Formats: sequence, C-alpha cells, structure tokens
Amino acid sequence: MSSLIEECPTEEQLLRALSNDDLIQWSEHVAICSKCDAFISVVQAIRQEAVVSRQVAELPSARWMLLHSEIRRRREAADQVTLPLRWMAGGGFAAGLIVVAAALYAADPTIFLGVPSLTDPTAHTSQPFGVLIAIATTPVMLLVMCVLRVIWAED
Amino acid sequence: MTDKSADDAQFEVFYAETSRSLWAYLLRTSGMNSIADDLLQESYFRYLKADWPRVEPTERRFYLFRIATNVLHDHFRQQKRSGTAVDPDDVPNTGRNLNLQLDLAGILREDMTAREAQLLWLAYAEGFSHREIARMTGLGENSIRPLLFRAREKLASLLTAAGYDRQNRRRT
Repeated sequence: MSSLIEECPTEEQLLRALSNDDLIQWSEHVAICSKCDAFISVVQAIRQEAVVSRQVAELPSARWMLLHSEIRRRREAADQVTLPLRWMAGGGFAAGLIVVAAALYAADPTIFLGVPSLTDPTAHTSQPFGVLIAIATTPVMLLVMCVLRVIWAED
Repeated sequence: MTDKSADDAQFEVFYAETSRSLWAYLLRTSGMNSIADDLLQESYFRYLKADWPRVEPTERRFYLFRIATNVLHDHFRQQKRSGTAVDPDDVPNTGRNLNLQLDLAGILREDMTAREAQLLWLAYAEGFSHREIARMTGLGENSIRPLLFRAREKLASLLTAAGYDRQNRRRT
C-alpha cells in the first residue's frame, strides 16, 4: 500500500487537483478514504452550484451601475451641502415662533395669562398657559425636525 | 476626462469579470433573489464610491468581496433589528442539473447558517484563502479552518442524506 493511500492529501492539494482537473492522481486514495471523498463531494457540489447560479444571474449593465452610482454620489453630495441650510431653516422657523410670541406679549401682556382654572371658578390666579405653549413649541419643533430628518434619510 | 473614461472602461471589464460571481455569493448567503440584487447594487456603489482605482488590480476582487461581505453583515444586522423576515423568492433554475441546484440551494438556505454558507462559498466557490476569508469576515485566521471543517462535515452529511454520490447524481 503506497503512502499516497495511507496519508490524506492536504486540503490545498485536493483543491488544486480539482481545479486542474487532475484528481486522478488521488483516485486510489479517495476511493478508500471517506473524509477525502466527503471533501470532494462538497467542493464539487458547491462549484457546480456556483456555475449554475452565475449563469442564471440577471444583472444590470456596468453602464447602468456607473450611471446610478454617479446619480447617488451627486445626491449625497447635494444633501451634504444643503444640510446646514436645512438646519438654519428649521432654526429660523423656531426663532420666528418665539419672535411672534414675544411680539404678541409686547402688544398685550395679558394675552399669555390666559386660562382661568376650570375646576375652581373663584380662583383668579391664572396659569401661564400661553407662555408654556410658546416655550414648548421650540423643542417640539426641533424634535419633529429630527424625526422627519431620520425618516427622510431612511427613504 | 480621459482618466474618468479609462476608469469607466476598467470598471466595465472588472464588472464583467466579477458581477456574476458576486451575485451568486450574495444569493447563496442571503438566500433571496431580490435581496441579492439590492446587495449587489449596494456593493458596487460602495466600491465605486471608494477610491478603487488606487487598489492594486490583483487585490480588487478581494476588495469587492470584502465590501460585499460588509454589506451582507449590515443587511443581516438591519434584518435582526427590524425583525423582518421576507419570504424567500423562487430559487432560479436552469434545465441543467436541476435537482442538485434546487437541493443544494435549499440546503444552503434552510439547513446551513448564513455564516456556514458564506464560509463554504468563499472558500470553495470563490477560492479565497483562509487569510483572505478571515480579513473579509473579521474572524480570526486560525478559526477559519475548524469552522470550515464543521460546515463541510455538515453539508456532506446533508448531501448524503439527500442522496448524492460523489458524481453529484441522485442515487434514488
């Protein structure tokens, strides 16, 4: 019995033999070695599957890929450039709300002393309802902006 | 201008050489046609966005598969986070060796983990070395051999159970 039959070839040797269609040199060994036989079965099955899978692939052309890549690159660049502008627009909107609230307050300071207690009609202390709304508006708007930004970014 | 055209021409050649292999890898690892299509596009987009002309020509295929592996990992992570499971598409088939293809595709998709299918595919369909696979997947180089060994044993027993002999023909 030759040493070829007694000793298993390395994985690399078997792979090389498979690639070069030169498996015959190991045929005696493989016939009696279940480990090498299983190895070759797996590699051959995967390679055969790879050949078939590659044949059935329906792929876009390279030009399509280049074109869409360029479109996407430009869109990302545009997003990057307009990001500060969008943040400024959001900040401006929030600042505008504060200015409006301040102007209203300046015109009529009682405007924010609004809502008397509904449960206690005799109570004259009013809750600063309008002021709370005006103050709450800014962070809420910022939050909404952030949420919308995340949603748009995912789209 | 000339450089860009030259790069584009170079990319077209590279795309012709690699796109089918990459699609097959993405299909057999993700298990779905539509996902493989999306991941293929994403892989080439990232490849083109990176400074690929500076990569050595001999390294480009490895570089592309490394990007695709990252894209796959991102996909699995997103799928895990969102908890969405998409029904697998029909596995494409051809008239040639239909039984083997359907069975092996099904085995890789249903009976093997994505990691096992990935390692087997990179090693035996694409012929990457253990070192390259380790660099792609982020696994230790020394752990590739035992992982591959276990995946191979598992697939061999599944193929035997499915009734194949070494000539990849059904015995039954």
